[in-house]
Amino acid sequence: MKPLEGGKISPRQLYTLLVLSNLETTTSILPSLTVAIAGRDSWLTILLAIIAALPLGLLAAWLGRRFPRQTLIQYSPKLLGKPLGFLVGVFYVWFFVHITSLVVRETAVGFNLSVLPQTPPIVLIIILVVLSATTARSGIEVIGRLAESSFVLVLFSVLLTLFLPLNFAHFEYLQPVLARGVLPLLPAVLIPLGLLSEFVAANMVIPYLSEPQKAGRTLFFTVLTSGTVILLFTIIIIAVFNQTAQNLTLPPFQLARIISIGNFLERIEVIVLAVWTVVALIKAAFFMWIGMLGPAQLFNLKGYRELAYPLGIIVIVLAILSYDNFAAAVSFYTPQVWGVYSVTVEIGIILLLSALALLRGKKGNTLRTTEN
Amino acid sequence: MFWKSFLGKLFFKRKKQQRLPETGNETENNILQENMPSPDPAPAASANLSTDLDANVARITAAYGESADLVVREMETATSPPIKIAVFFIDGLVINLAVTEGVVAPLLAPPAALSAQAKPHPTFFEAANKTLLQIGEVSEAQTFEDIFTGLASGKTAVLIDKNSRALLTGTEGWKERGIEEPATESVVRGPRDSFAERLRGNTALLRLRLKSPRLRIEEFQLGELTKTTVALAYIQGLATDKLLQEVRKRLKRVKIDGILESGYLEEFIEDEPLSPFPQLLRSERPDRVAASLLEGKVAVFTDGTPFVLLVPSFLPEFLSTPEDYYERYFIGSFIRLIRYVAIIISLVLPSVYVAIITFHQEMLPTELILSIASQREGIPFPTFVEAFLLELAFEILREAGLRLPRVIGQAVSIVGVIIIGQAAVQAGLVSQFMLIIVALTAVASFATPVFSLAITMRLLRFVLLILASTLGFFGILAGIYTIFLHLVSLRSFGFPYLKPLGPVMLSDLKDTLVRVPFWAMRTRPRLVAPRDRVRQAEGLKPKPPQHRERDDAKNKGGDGA
Repeated sequence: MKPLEGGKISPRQLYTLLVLSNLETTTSILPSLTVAIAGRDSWLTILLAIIAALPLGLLAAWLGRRFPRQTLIQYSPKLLGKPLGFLVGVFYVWFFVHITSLVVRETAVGFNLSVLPQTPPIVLIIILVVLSATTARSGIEVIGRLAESSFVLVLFSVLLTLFLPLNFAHFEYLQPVLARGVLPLLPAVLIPLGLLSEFVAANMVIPYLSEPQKAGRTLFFTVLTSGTVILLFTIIIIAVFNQTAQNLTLPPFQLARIISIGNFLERIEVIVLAVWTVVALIKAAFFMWIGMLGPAQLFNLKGYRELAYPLGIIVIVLAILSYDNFAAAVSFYTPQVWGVYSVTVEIGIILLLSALALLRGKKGNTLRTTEN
Repeated sequence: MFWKSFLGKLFFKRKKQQRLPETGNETENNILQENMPSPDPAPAASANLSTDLDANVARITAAYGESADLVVREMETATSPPIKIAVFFIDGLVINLAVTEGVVAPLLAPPAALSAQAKPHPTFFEAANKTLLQIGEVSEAQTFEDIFTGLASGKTAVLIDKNSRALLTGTEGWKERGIEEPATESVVRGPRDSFAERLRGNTALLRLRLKSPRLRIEEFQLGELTKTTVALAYIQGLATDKLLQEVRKRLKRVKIDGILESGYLEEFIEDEPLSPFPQLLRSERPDRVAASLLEGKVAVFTDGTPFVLLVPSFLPEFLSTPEDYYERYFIGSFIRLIRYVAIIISLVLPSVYVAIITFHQEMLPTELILSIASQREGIPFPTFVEAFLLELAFEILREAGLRLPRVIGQAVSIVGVIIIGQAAVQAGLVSQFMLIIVALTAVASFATPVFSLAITMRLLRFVLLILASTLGFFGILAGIYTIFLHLVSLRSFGFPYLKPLGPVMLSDLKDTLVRVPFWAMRTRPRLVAPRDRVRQAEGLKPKPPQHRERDDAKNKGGDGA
């Protein structure tokens, strides 16, 4: 039988893909969310989240390497038994489809807020979903290449938005540190942890890695890179906007908007928006690919590419239904809702499966004898 | 009765109607079959020669019908008994002197020693082949097909009585365009020769540059009626077997009546026929082809055209010229970067302008937007229409200037400049800013070194223009993303088209956006098998001499003594 996904992806492509996926959400909404809860200490929550996410990344890679020729959807029934494993798979897939819809919605909202105030969001949503579904149809290889070749551009634009507004930064806004103690910070850690842990998407990709032995390293550096960038972002946003940061929509866009150097390097927010949209498209395509491959493996379908546009319709509906406005979005991304939800699905599944794999001593086939 | 006849008529008519399309189909089929490229004019051209000379001559002349350019010379040797010989060639394709002195004269008057024992069978044939014919290239032909192909490529056919074989002598020579400067890929510094139409001359130019016997040239004949020679050139050991097999497989697939340009082949052998992007680079410069072969590519020569296809090709190569390598690397790299900027400008500038003016006026500095607004005051069209009209006018102008005779072409461009440049603005049809934008775009598109890519960009520019006028920046972004996605998934003979930017290959980036100095280009691109990748010795970076002071002292001492 032909494998569902025939493509191969290099560790570097996976790394860029995961970092871009992480940066998309974390930079677009995270700073305002954490500032709302943890105030000027929110950069510390990010630091804690990175420290927590690093071992989790290694654990996810270890789990994936234990079943080198299978995706999480395929080995969860082996560990949990068929009905429970199926259920876990469904949750896992649902989570990524849900995130896709959120990403698409955020991007559309971003355009509505900045350059296209009068365009109905549904038009933007439909176009974005068609683009990302078409990308997802091309398979993981193309998605990986897209991420890899746009990575330098994205990094450049991130650094641009980070360093160009430095003349507006007041680092004294960061003081005093830990005025209210550590405890109030802890619930806020859940938000960045949930966003950073999106690297569990790798457990669908590890069987398609060209050099699977590098999976652990890849995930480790993914967390480190995206964690560092988001840490810097949070620090600069607090230093520039102080407490008003919690009311910002799309902080990177706002940061770029205030850039003004020598009276000519101004109004470059469109560049940031463009780059950010490309990243959002790549992330949406990647997660849609999971949302297509997952069900195909759950139900033993012969192909997954056919699912692209049907799934696209689901994503469009979800994106429209997800929230009414940006304020509602912020109320979704609270530790009580988003924190618990994301951490359960992402980290919970990984922890559960790893523990079972260890206790029951199950292993996947390393050789090419049984191709699934 | 009436009923019957009426019904009968009806029935008959119906039957006729039913039948008609069938017969129609049959005739169509017949026509199709007749139109199918049949192997050759003579019904059994692949038949072997017979031993009867007269029959052979009759058959060849019958095959060519009344063609005026076929020359038949029937003669007899001055021996006893005389041997009947027939010589065929096509006038205009041969050097007459060579036929007279190299073929006809020695056959008519064989040396006395030979004529004593001459007999009209294999001995004389062998003698003619080995000792008599004073021509460099002589080959044997067994079938009429071989003779027809030989005659059409300028050979002289010698048929000898009682022999079912013929001799084809290499007397070819015709008026040919000389080696001129390349018309489409000119350089300031670098060789000035370019390919011409004849295949053999073109491969010779390549052989002059690559003297190693590892340069291999394989030939195919494609096209049922044109019998066009298509040659694969590659360096044995550098071009991988997998690539070669793929190229051969794709070329042999081509069954067509005629191939007149490499463009015919290109459309048959490319990977994605629906892509607007050119997937095979073509060049008329021998130095460029040689450089490509050194990187493990395969060149496809087509007889009758100076344009050689390079297989596989990657997008970044469409933005490089041989001159990048001949100028010093700072300059080469800088010019190449400029080209990247130019191609982006030629793709997006008009649509960005339209998007800004239509949707995002806040993006421009206030003074600029005010001056644009004041200029646009009296203009009746929306920006999109303005841009579209001007772009269209420019494309028409360019096309008109291109096809006309050179003298009139200048007149056209003067008229175009005055009408479009001056009058259109004064009449209030378009704004001056629009004119600047379109002119800049046009100039930028001329900076793309490969014409086929420039055309693609022209095409995509209009698509982006429509997107920009409907959805502003979002539309442009969606369009560019789609192009990007298409490029990333495109392949050229199985290799990623965007390599080394598509899957990023760090070692190949040395010759992509910039060109590193030659001493830093130690390895060939990732096309070649790993063991053949090193192309130069290590540590070639030049350094100033180590012991300068001592040398100076020595020189001084020498001067003193």
